[in-house]
Amino acid sequence: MSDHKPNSVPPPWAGIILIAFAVVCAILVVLDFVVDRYVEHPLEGWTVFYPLFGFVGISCLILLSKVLRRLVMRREDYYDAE
Amino acid sequence: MPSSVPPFLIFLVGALVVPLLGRVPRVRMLWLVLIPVVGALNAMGIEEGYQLQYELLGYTLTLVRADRLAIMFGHLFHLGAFIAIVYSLHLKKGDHATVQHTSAVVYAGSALGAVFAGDFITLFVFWELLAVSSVFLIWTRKTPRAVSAGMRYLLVHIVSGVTLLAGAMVHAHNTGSLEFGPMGLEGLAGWLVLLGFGVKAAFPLLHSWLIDAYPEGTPTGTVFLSAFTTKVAVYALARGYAGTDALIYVGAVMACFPIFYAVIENDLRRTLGYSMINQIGFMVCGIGVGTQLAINGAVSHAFNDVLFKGLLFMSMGAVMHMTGKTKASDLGGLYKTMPWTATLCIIGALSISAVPLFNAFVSKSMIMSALLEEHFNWIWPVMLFASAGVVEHAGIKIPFFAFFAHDSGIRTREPPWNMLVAMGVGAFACMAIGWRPDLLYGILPYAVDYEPYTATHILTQLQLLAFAIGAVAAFHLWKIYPAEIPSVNLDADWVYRRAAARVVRFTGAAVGAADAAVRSAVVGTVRGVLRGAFRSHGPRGILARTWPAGSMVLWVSIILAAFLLLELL
Repeated sequence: MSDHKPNSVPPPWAGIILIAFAVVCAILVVLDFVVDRYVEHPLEGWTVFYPLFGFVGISCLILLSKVLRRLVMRREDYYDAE
Repeated sequence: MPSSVPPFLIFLVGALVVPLLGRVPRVRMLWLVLIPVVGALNAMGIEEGYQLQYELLGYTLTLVRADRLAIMFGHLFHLGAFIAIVYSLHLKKGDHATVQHTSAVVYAGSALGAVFAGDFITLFVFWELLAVSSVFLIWTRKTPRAVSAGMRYLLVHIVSGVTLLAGAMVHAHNTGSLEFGPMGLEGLAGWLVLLGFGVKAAFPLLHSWLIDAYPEGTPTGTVFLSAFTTKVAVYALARGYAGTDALIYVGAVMACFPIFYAVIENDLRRTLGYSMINQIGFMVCGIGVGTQLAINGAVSHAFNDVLFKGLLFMSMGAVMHMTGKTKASDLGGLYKTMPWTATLCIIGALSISAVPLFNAFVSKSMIMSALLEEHFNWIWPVMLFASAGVVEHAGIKIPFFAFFAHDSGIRTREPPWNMLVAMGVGAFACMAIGWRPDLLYGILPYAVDYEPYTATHILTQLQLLAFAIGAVAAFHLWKIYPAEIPSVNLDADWVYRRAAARVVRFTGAAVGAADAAVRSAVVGTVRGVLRGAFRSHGPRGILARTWPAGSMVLWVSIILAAFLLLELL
């Protein structure tokens, strides 16, 4: 675990990067209402489908990976032991 | 007059000279760089439709078959070999430079031989040579793990080749021809050949050689490994199994399951191994769809994968070369001392994530569009999920944990110049194809009528990526993102590394016990017989006693008296 280690990017910079990123995300959501997107798949017809899919998809990915870790994680020398 | 030199020959002859140049490193460097350059010039001279055939035991074998598909992979492998060779020029005697360089050049040559092979026998020979030559790129790392991982890698690939050969024999028996063309899944031959290809393409459950062996290779060796073996398999699938529906589903599974493992994997080169299976999943899916757009998408994604995955493996190889570490739990903060490597790694991350203006945006979009055109409405969201998953592990995790995240305290330098140049060439190629897709379109198997840069497509892709990144950032901030923990994760290789080993041990113990029981029973019986014989025939045995002559005369008289009595009666 490396929780005790200091962040390599100093806080003011990390904060600025995060705020800039949040602004970009907001603009992309607003553009969804402005741009007349063409739709090929039924799901694409939903408003803000892609942002929603990206966020929820990755959230599920991370949460399920945590469950997977409980099942499959072993000590680093697991295969060396025998 | 087209070039008549088979592309692989330049590499194999070049490799023969490499060991002779061990004492003159500068000449060897020049020689090594010249091999792919001369090879590429030779390949450019090969005209479409050119064939080089010979007769063997009544069969016509095609050493070179130059059609658009083979020529495209030929260009790709020359470019991949050039980048990887430049990346490994700094190798010294202590790195087993001669072995590494020689095996790498033979390996690249085998890949070229395989994609230009027009028949199964030639394909099989190069298929096995790929395995035999590349295993030295793992073994030369010299760690006990590398040695055993290399042995497993070799065994798996030899089995893949033998399966391919068995399929080819059945095919030759059925059709009377050894030509390697479209196969399909009708009959035993089709399944056997697919299984042979599937092992090399890292199909689900057949994939674990990749994540077992690639992280154990040398820093430079893994760059070669990432470029050739799986791409030869993708080529073979594109030629033999285009439009095979099953591959759509196989590809979808390949694209999805590794991204879960990639989230929790601590070794960053193993994470890239999972990422590679995920990317091959997109290619296999495209091959399964089988339309011209899908095949173009699949093979152009293979082309791009060599570039961006090579770039990512190179950046992690550079980190490993300079710090000796590749574990996320050991790294972090390296951007301070390796800014160029960090920048080039980020370009690789942007490329693999399919950010507009980078190469995967073009090729992955072709596969996704082909899925929609053919109305695979259930597979499309699955692949979209896999697409977003790439951003998490390859787009963010690799550069973040190596170069940013927590400060590991490691202070190092940039890698040798040749590593930076090779990464620079890879990064330039990733961006060039992103900016000018027509550079790639010109060499694809089918004519291309596809425009990736539409407002809708750019917007939706940016939305998907930004919010995928947003989710990762949120999980980091909420401190529920899986921490980097020194560990291994059980995967399909557990079956032969642990379960099979236990079965063998258990069976050995059971057979040993049964053997001991049978032996002791037999020995007991023999002892009993001996004891009985000893009792009767031993020194004191009844049959061994010395009887007095008087008693014998007495008994003879009694018997005679008995006869006499019976006669009188």
